[in-house]
Amino acid sequence: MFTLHSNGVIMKTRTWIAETIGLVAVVTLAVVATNWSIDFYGSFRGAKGLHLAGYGDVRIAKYLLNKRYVPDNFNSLIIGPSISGNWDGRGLERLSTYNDSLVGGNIVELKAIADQALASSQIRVVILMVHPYLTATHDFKTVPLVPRLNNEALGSVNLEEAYKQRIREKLHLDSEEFDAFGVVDFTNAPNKMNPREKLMMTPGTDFTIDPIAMQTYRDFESELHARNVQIIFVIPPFLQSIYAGKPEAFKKYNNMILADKAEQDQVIDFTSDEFTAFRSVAGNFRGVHLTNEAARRVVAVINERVDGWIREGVFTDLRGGALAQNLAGAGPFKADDRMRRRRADSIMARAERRSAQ
Amino acid sequence: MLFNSFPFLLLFLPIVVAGYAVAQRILGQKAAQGFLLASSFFFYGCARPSYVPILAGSILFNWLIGTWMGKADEQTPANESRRKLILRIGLVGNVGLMCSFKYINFFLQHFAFLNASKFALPNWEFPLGISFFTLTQVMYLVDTYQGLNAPNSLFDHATAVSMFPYIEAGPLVRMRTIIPQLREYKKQVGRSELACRGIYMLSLGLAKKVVLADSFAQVANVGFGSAENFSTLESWIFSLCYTFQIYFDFSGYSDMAVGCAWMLGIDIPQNFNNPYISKSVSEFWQRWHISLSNFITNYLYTPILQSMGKATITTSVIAVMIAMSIAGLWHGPAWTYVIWGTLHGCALGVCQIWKRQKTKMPPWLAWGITFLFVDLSLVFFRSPSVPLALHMLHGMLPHEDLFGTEAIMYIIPMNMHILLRPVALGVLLAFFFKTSQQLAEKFRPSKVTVLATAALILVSFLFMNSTAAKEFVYFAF
Repeated sequence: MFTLHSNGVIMKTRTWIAETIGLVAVVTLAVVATNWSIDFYGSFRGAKGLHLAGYGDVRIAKYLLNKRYVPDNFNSLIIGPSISGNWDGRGLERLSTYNDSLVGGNIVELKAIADQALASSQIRVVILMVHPYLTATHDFKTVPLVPRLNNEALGSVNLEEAYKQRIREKLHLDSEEFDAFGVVDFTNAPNKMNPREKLMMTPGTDFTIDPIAMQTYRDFESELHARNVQIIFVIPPFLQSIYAGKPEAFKKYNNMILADKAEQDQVIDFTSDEFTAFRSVAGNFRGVHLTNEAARRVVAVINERVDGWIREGVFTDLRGGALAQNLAGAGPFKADDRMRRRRADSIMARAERRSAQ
Repeated sequence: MLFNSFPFLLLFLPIVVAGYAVAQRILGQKAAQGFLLASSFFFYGCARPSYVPILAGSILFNWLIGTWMGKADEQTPANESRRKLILRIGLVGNVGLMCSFKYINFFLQHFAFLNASKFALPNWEFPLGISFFTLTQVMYLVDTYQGLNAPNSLFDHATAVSMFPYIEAGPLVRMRTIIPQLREYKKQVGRSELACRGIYMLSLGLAKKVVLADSFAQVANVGFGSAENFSTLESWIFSLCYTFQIYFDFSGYSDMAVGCAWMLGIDIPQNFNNPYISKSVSEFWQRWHISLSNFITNYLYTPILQSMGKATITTSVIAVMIAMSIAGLWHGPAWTYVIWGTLHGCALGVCQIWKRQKTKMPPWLAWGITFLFVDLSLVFFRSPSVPLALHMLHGMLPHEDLFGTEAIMYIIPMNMHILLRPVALGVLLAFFFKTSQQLAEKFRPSKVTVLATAALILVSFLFMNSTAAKEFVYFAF
């Protein structure tokens, strides 16, 4: 029970209520307006030509970037767990590719992210990993990736962390989580498997299948077919010593996943004999991941195949993305040069006006 | 509609508080009470409209029983036995309602092996808050039987039982403390001053829930949601995180409930008073879920003890163990809750014996043993099953993986650094800071409290916009 104090009142209670509510309202509006105008993830306004890297929670960042930034600038996606995290889409010359892969990602999370981009119908090709990690669990690792999350860009703990990381990066104290193409740098990634990976790759065992995750994988395939998106299934390379521990389990899993493959879908199998030599070089791997150099070689193989399919007329309706055109041949760049773009736009507009006069 | 959701905080609450105040001033107390009753039913129905008839039926049933008991009020032996019979009907009705939704599966599944086809388990989800509004009305019936309160009118009874600040998860209130406040608003404190305190209390509770409890939950859920083998250090971290989570979650909820009630000009009892500084388990229960403690003492322990005849240390220990086991089962239909309740019953029994021996223990040791016991017992409370609880307790014992952090590093959501601040702050607050009640008592409307309240609300909004609103732990009971 409360004790009453009638003395010591410094201000009128109604003033107190008005000031408290007013202060909350003003600060909330200011924060929302500021974040809307900065538009850190390019999710509120057009994002064509912007270069937005990822900061803060990777899942939230990719979810928000896929709303506007990815469909505005890319026409294909790489979707997989961390094994494809460092596959750089710039190596796919005939496509404009964004890497949606997630460290520890499962298909439920990846589908939620990709669905944001697919909603716009700009995405024409999806490079989809065939990897047991995708269907082993169905839980969201950090937060549920649902449409409500789009509000996070207006003010949230993650956004605060993202700003801080961006500032630290400017001061050379930190780096981005992934670059403007969604690519992660695995140079300093741990060179060993985590407990879940160890359990999954135990020799002589079958892969655990989560029924919800498997159903989601099937749903995702159907959704891509329904949207006329070209699927390239990629069975990624595993270190030969890991693969040799359970080849039957890998084959069984791959066959199960590819059972629903449509006629127009393509498959690149890096566990085939063709790539045994590549898999046998331990230096190509860091844990279950590929080194950045090895990833470049894998992307080069995919590029070669895609090029062939396009030449053969298997793939149609591909358009170059804005970002790919802008950054063709560009080296590493710093993220978000919205101000520079605005300045460039105004210079161009002025030039056009002059030439019109 | 959760207390920690934007629709509640930005729409429902301001509309109801303002509407209630305006109705009181313009249309009179009855109309305001009618508005409050309708709002409370709307609030309750938001969870699931199909629950509303169950709440309404329970209110009607208990009102009828109370009124029936009131009619047999004359002090004659015949009336006395009649009143006892009516009370028993009322208690059986209430316990029956609760059992039919909460415990029928729990009991039937133990007989399912006899003939599975005849024991097809019904899949009834129990209505939100049934444990709370049932106990509230049990208290009303017993108090009416004992002559501590007169039977309520249906209007008063429905308003007091269904009031939105406490209908879903308490605190457990006595009708005789609420109904007079509905009839006549306390004049000794300014209405707007109480509303200020209410807003302040609400902001404290909201921050406890969304900033602290939900951050602890993100760590604890990983440990308790998996049967993996964790290191000793990790097991302790998971268990301690749940210990802090449940405190901040439930005390945060209780603070918000008290704050909402104060905004309406109604005073309801506090539920927590720094429980983790307790130096004995009996002191812990005087500080933890105080309204339930009072219920256990007055409506379970005392009648059980009285039914045993002469009160001795043996009967007292047996009575407390039975009462706490029932209280454990009240939390949910699972053996984990029964074990948790029985453990606390045993500990309270030990406390009684210890007290008789008059042996003193250094305060730091008493605190350490009490906190350790509470933490270990909560492993049962949180675990989905007894084997998983034992698995977690086994993990807490020193084993070959003593200080491993692999699971923490790889399995905890990757925004671990975001969690560190609230987790560290929470540990400090639980042990060294004033309770919300103490802060509210010292509240003065000033620039400082404007800034403090606004800051708490703004930080809470930031966290609320970062994760989907999570249910309060006690909503599951």
